[in-house]
Amino acid sequence: MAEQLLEIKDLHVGYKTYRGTSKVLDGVHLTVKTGEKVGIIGESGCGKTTTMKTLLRILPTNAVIYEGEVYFKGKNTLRIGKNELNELRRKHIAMIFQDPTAALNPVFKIDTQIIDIIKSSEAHEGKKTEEFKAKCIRLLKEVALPDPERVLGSYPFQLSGGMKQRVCIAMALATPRYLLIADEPTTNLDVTIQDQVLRLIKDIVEKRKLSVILISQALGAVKGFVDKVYVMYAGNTVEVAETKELFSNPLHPYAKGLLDSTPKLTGGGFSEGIKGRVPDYINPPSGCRFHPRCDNILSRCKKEKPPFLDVEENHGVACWRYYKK
Amino acid sequence: MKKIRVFKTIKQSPRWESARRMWYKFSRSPLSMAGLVISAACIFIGLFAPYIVPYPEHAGYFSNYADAFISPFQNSKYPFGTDEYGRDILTRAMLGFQYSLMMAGVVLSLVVAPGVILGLIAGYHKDRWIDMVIMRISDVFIAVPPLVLALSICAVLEPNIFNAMMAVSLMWWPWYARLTYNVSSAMRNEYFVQAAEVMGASTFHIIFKEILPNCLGPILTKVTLDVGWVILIGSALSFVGLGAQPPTPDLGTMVADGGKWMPDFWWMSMIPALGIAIIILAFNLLGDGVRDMLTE
Amino acid sequence: MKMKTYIARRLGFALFSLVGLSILVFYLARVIPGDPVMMMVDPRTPPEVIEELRHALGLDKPLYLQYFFWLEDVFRGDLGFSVYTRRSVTTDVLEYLPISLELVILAALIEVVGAFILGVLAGSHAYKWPDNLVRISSYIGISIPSFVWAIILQLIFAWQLSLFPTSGLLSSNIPSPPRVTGFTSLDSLIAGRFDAFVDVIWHATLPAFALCIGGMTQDARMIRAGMVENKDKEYIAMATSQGLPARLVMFKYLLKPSIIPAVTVMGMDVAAMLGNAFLVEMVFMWPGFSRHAINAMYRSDLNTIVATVMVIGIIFAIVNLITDIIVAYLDPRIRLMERGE
Repeated sequence: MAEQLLEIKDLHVGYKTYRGTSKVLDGVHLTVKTGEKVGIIGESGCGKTTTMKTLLRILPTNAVIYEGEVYFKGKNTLRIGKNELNELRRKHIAMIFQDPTAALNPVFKIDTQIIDIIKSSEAHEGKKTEEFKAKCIRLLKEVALPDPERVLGSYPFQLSGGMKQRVCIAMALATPRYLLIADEPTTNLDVTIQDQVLRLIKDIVEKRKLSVILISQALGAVKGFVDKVYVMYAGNTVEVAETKELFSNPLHPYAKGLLDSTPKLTGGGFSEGIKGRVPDYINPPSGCRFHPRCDNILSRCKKEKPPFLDVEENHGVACWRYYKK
Repeated sequence: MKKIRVFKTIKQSPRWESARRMWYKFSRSPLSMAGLVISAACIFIGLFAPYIVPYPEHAGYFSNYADAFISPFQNSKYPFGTDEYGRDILTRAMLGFQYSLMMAGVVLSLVVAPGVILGLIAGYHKDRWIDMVIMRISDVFIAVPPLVLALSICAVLEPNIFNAMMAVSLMWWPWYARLTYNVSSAMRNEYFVQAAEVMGASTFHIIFKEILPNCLGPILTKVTLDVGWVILIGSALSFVGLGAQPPTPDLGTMVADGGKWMPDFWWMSMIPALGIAIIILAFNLLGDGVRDMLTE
Repeated sequence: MKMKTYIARRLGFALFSLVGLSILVFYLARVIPGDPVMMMVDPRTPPEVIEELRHALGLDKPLYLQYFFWLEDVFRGDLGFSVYTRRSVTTDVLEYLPISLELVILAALIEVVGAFILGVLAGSHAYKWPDNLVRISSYIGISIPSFVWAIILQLIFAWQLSLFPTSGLLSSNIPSPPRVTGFTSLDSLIAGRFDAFVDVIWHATLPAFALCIGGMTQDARMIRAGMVENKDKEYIAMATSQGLPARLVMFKYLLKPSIIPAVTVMGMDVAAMLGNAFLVEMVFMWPGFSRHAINAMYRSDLNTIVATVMVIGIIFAIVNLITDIIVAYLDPRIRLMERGE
């Protein structure tokens, strides 16, 4: 039986802005078992990245963690000390960011950035520069970058988007890790490159037997890859199920609308999408955050937030319609 | 009925909304508000100094040796003390404000419009010969630290406040040309400019109605900050004796004259020096606030 | 484009500006004050003698020819004759310039080192007391002109507390070292005169601080602002997420991009320092180039004025060029991305 690698319980996180506090995460639940591949889907701004950043504790300075627990391998990452946290980041979790242009330091060459990562991992103490460089070249070849020597000697702005993202993937693999978080790795890339990069990630994950959290807006990418899918809306986890189950039988009205909106090759025209807009996090709707856009609300939906519970085997939902008292 | 409706319409217009938002942002910074208040006070003093000073006759040649060298904070008659001629320092400092602000006002009015226009033209016609000409000429003026150029111009002319203003103006305009050039040449390739060109708008219209409004932000910030800089250079010039001549109460001249009496009669230099510092500080805070307000 | 091309282009711009400056200054000095010959001679001199003098000096030729002759002289090292000191201007420059440069170099060092220390301190403890202290001091620093700082420092540290001398280059009881380079401090070291060396530095401390305090607090604030702004950038989050040690992230990955605008401003400050030094030199009676130039200006000594502006302009251009090179080294985007590559 695979053990629990990551467990996020009821996470509440907000950002302080000059207009007020933006309460983004309003109760996020997530579990990942060792070797499991988990997907998270949801629209822009629903808190997917914030959740991941909270796990690694790399939130910006104006962020506030209100409540909630994040357990990685049994330890609460929100409470551990700096040294343990750094060890976590060095040896256990790696993250690939959404925008490779923003994720790479513009004033340092690629080789400096990769070598520093390798150097700070203890397993490589006492080695010489040539060995580091050789390792970098191997890494870049593994992510299918042509002409690794040139890439190593370049600055980030001299590379294309796809190349930069591959460099970021290489950096995530520079030292052995257990969990790979891929935060919308292809959203900022050209459509023609997206498929290549996704395939690359898939190969690497399979080869190294990593656990993965794949965040994406491309439902197709998620479908062909992960075991289990979470659906997030407005800072809440609203549904979770095994991939096949979710795509064939979505329960939450948002998930239904989302899957319905995807154009299908079988024809049948375009769907209407989901009416309404993403809520304002400074003044979020009361009760269930989806209720203003829902076609099917009960009076309870406006007043109380629905809990996130399993309503069928391995299929969880946060919606009053399914809550069997 | 009609009046109220017009007001309402204005209040709902997007311009008003953005003005309100900018003011909200500005007013939340205590330093910027302090700058605004102090700058307003300085301008007030500058405008009405001759009418509100306690001893207007102390402005020029005046002597009352019985009251000379009184230290400040002693009595209410001369709150900031007197100089070697028995003239009230507070009065002369306030009149000095008037000169400093007048210099800033004159220089900036002379300099901003031509500098900005030249910068706009050069920016719009980027990489053509007119760009080269305008920018190279302004580069020449920028090649030398401002103070040196102002000094040398003043040195070959007769030292008085008018020539000082001319000298400072002459070497100040390139900075506005350069600022406007940087902003407008970046905007040159934006879509809204190309759209206007395609629609057949005249160059005049494009430069002044499309590009200029977008440059106003940095220009306004610079003007506000420049008030402080011009006053600084102006007081440096009069410190050296190339600006206002005694007995005109100019802050820089007063600092220089008071220097002879250091350290015993320190207030003769320090009070006007403090005056200079206050004006510059106020306009710097204001300028910072304006800059923060205009950058989202 | 590579570094060399970048440098070559900057050099070209600098030269062009200097040529333009020389034309401007020459024109100002020759045309505006009126007839230079009349200023040199006794008004009672008969007109034939005046004409002869005019011809001998080449002042009856057209202006552009005069300019070229003057330029020729300059390249040969002849900057003209000083009506004020009755010596060649070149001699004056060589005597006084190094003394000013001593002061300026010391001030520049203090400014750069001080700005880095204060700026990093404020940036790494953002919103806490070191940061607030630095911010307040930057407002004070920029509002007070350097000559006012000079007076304040002189009043407090020299007059009241007697910690530093009030004026001059060397104390009266210490003989000056034999002149080798013209830099009194260097000459002291060369002659092995440690006492003179320390004495010069002691005398230079207050004026140097007066020159650089305003700029130093500004630069510190810019470094602080850069660090705070970049702290929340994605690439710092990424570096932290990789588990790099916090010190490494702060002092390498955060610092380098944050100091770029500050370095540009620092360079401009240092470049302008020689020109701004005269006020401080006057207050502290530092026998330097700028003070000499002011005195020459009082005497309407045109040749010295022209030479002063040119010397200051050249040094300004050189320092700016060096700054541009340093910035280009720090930020590869500048040298590699010009003209929309």
